[in-house]
Amino acid sequence: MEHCHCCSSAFQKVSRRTVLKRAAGLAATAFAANMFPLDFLFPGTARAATNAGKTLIVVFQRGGNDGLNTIVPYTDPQYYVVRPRSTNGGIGILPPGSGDGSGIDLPGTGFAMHPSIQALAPLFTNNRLAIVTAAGFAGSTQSHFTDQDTIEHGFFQLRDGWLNRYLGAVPAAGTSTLRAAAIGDDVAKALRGAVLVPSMTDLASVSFSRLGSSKVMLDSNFRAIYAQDPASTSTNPAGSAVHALGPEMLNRVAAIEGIGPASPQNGAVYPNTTFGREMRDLAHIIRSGLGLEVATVDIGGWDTHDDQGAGGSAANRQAGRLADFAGGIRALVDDLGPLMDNVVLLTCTEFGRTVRQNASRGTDHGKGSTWFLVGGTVKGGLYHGAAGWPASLVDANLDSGRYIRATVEFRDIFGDVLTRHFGTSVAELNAVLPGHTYSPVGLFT
Amino acid sequence: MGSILGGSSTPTTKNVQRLLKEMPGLSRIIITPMPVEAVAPPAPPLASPVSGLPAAPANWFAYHVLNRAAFGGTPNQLNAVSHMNAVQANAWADRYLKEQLGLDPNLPWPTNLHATSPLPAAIPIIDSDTDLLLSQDKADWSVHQEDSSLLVPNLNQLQDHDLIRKMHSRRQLLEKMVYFWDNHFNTDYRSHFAGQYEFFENEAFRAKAFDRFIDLLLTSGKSPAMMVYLNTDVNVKENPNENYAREVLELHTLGVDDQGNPAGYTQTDIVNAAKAFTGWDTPNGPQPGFRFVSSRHSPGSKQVLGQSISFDGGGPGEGERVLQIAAAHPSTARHLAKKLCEYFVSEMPSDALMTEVASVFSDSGGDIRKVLIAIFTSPDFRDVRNYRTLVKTPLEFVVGLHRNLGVWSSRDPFRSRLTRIGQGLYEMPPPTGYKEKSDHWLNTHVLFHEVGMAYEATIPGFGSTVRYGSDATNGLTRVWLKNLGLKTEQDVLGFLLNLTMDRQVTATEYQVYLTTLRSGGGTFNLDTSSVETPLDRTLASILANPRYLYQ
Repeated sequence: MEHCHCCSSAFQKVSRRTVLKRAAGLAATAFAANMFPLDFLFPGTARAATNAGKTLIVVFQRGGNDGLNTIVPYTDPQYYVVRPRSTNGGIGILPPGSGDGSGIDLPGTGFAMHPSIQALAPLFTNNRLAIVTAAGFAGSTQSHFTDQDTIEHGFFQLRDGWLNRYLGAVPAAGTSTLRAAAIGDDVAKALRGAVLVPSMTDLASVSFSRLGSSKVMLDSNFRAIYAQDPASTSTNPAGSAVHALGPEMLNRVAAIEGIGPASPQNGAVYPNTTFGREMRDLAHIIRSGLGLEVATVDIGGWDTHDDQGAGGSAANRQAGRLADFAGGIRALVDDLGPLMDNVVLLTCTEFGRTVRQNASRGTDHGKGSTWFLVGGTVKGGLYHGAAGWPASLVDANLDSGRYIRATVEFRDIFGDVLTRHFGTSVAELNAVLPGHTYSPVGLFT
Repeated sequence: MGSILGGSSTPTTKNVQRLLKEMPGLSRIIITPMPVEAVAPPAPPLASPVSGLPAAPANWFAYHVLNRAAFGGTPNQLNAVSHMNAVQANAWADRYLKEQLGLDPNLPWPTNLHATSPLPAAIPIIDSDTDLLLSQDKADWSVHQEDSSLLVPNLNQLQDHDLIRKMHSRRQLLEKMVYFWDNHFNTDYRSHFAGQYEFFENEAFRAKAFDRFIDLLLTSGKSPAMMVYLNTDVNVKENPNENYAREVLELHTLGVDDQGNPAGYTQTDIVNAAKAFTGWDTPNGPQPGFRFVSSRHSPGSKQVLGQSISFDGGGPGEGERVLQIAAAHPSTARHLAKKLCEYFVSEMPSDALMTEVASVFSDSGGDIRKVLIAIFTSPDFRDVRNYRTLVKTPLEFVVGLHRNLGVWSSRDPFRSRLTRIGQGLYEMPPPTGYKEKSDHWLNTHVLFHEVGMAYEATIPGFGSTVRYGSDATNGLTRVWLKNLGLKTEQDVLGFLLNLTMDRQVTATEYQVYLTTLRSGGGTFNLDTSSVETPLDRTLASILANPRYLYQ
C-alpha cells in the first residue's frame, strides 16, 4: 500500500503522539489530549473562523457501493457488454426510457441514475447535488477494513480520524452543547481520537428518567465515583479513557432529554429504517441548536458479491439499500429546508466494485466509486476528475483491467469541504490531512 | 475443595442450603456449587479502607481466573475465593483451569506444548443441570415445514439459548472459546434466516473448540451459514465470486499487518483461491450440511500461497487444501496468537507472549488446547499487572452480571440490550466479528446501555425483571441478603463488593455506598422494609462503578 508524502513535520508529530499513546496503552483518550495539547502539536494555527453555525454530516456507505450501477454510463455500449441488461439476465441498468427499471437520465451527461435513487434526482436538476463518479485513492488494498481506515484516518497510519483531528485543530466558533456526535451505536473511525466524541442512536430511548425518585441519588453517586482520580482507582492502562466516558455520557443523555422528540418539518418523509430514523434524529439535533458541527452516520449492506440486481422489477440487494440511502438524504434535506444553507452532507464508500459482473450476478471489490455532496454552497454536477471518465469501459481503460480507476483523490474532496465549508486555514488543513498536497476539486461555488 | 472452605455446619451455611432448595431452575444452577464444591459461607464483612485503591488482594489469581477463563464467578465460587489465602487461591485457580481444559487437576501441567504428540484425552465436565435446561429451552422452537425432524430457532431463540449456556454452563472456558470461534468466523443470521444453520455451526464449534485450528477452519468454511454468508454457495467456475476467498485469508487465517497490508497473500492468491472453492454448496433441503457440485468447479491446477493445487477431477479437496495451506502459514499462527492473547491476557499483549503462543501454535500443528495451556501458564497471564485490566465486552458484561449476582430474569431485556448496544449474537453484518479491544467499541452509547442494565437489575420500575436468590425472596435484594444471614452494613458491603469487585474499594466509594445504605434513616436493619430502596440504590451504584467494567 502506498502512502505518499508521509514525511512532513506535522505528520511526524502526529505519528510520535500516536506512538506515545500506544506505548501508554491508551486508545482514544482525552488523557492523551491533555498530555499533548493540540497547540503543542500545531503551533500558530490562529484562524479567522468561518465555521460558526456550520454543520458537516458524513455518511459512510460501508461495504463498498457499486458506483457504476449508481451513476450509470448508459451511453457506453461496453457497459452493457460487461453488465448485460437486466432484461437479458444481467445487472445492467436499462437506458432511460426503456420501461420498468430504466435509469433516470442526467441530461447532457451520458449518465443516468439508478432508478432507486430517484429521490435525489430533483437535487441534481436544481444544481444542488454534486456527484463524484470515481472517488478513491491510489494504493487501495481492496480490503473493506483497511480501505475504510485509510479514508477515515485520512492516511492509514494516522490512528485518529480526520474529523477528530479537525475538532482538535479548529476551535468551535461559539459555545456548543454537542459539537460532534456519531449517530449510531459505534463511533465512526473518522470521529475517533484524542477528542472524546459521543455516539448515540434511537434518541427517544436515550434517557434515565424512568429511574424516577432514584435518579438524583444515582446520578450523584455516579458522578462522585467517576470523579475519582483514575490513576488511583483504576488498574487499567486506559482507565482515564473509561473515566472520561462517564460524565460525558450523563451530560449527553441530559442534552438529548432536553430537546424532546423529533418532529420532521416541511413534509419530510423519512424511510422507516434505522438509517431513516438516524437521519431524522440528526436533523432534529441540528435544528435544536445544540451547536452540532460534525456528525457521522453509517449505512451498511453494500457488499453485493451476489444477487446485486438492477432496477424496477429486477431490483435486488443494491436497489433497496440505494432507496434507503437516497430517501434518508432527501428527507433530511427537505426537513432542514433553508437550514441546509449551513449544512453540507458528504457521502463516502471505501471502494467501488469490479466492472464486470461475476457469475453470481454480483460484483467483487473494486476501486473508484461514487461519492455525493449536497448543501451549503456545493455546486451541483458530475465530477470525473482531471483524467475524465473512460471513453469506453474496455479492459485497457480500467485499473488492472478490472476496476474503475480512482480519478478524484478523496483527500481533495475532504480539502474542498474543510476549506470551503468550514473555512479552514492552510495550517488547519495541514493539521487535519498532514502531508497531503491539496489540489482543489472545485466542488463548491 | 471442602477442606479449604471450612466446616459446613454454620448457621449461615444452613441458610444457603435452605435457600438452594427453594430456587427456581435458572438461578439454582448459577448459585449451587459444582458437585465437587462445598457450599461456601458469604464473604466476610468489609470495613472502609483508609484511602485510594488498595493493592491487589493476596488471593487475586483466583478472581483473575474466574474473570478470564470464565464469564465471571458465581456467588458460591466468589464466596469461596474470598476466604482463601494466596496459596489456597493459586492452588484453586490451577485446579479450575486444568478442569476447564479437560486435564487431570491432580497432575502437573503438560510439557509437550511444542510438539505434535497428543495431550491426554480430555476429561469431560459433567453438567447435567445445564444440559437439561438447554433441552427444555428448545421447547418453543419451530418444527421445519419440510422436515419434521428439524427444530428451527428464530434469532431471539438462538440468542437466548446461547446466553443461557454462557450464564449457566459449568464448562465456562469452553463457552468462552465457542464465542471466540463463532465471532472469529463471524456469520450473520440475516444473510440466510436459517436458524438451524447458525445452531449447527455453533454446536460444531463447541464440539471442536479445543481441537486443531484446521478442524475449526474446515468446520467454518464448509458450514452452510458461512457458505451462504460469504457466497461460497454461488461461487461458480464461469466468473468466480471472491468474497469468501478474500475474507478467509484476511480475517480467518493470515490476516493483515500493522500497516493494513496483507500478511503474506496477494490479490492473485484471492482470485485463485476463489477458483479452488468453486463447486462448494449447501445441501438440497433444509438440513445443515455440505455438498460438492462438480459441474460448477473450475478445473485445472491453481497456484495459491506459493503452492500448486491440483486434484484429478477437482472435488472439494482443492478448497480444503487451500485451507490447510492457510492454516499452516506462519502469519496465521501470529494472527491467532495475537487475538487469543488479547482475549485472555491483555489489550496490549507483550511480544514475548505472542511469540511464544504463536510458536506453540505452529509447533503443535495448531493444537488449540496446547495454545490455551501456553497462555494460561504464561508469566504474563500470571502477572498481577494484568489483573482486572481487560474491559469486559458487552457480552461479557451481560453474562457476568447474571453470574456474579446469581440473578435470573426473563432474559429478554438483556438480550435486547446487547442488540441495542450493537453487539447482538448472530447479527454482526461485517465478517470481522466484534472487536475484542475496547478502543474499538467502548463509547458513550455502550456505557449508557451498560449502566442502564446495572439499574435495570436493581431499581424496581426501571424495567427490572431481575430477581435475586429465589422465589422466596420475591425478587427483593433485602430478603436475599437477609436470608444469607447478613446483618451489618459491613456484612452487606463485604458480600456485594466481593461479588462485583473482588472486595476492592476506595474510601470515597465506601463512603458513597455507606451514605446510600443509610439514606432510609434509622438504624440499618435488614428486617425493616425501609432499607429496601437504599439497598437497591447501593447495589445500583456498585454495578455502575467504572471498575465493574473491568475483568
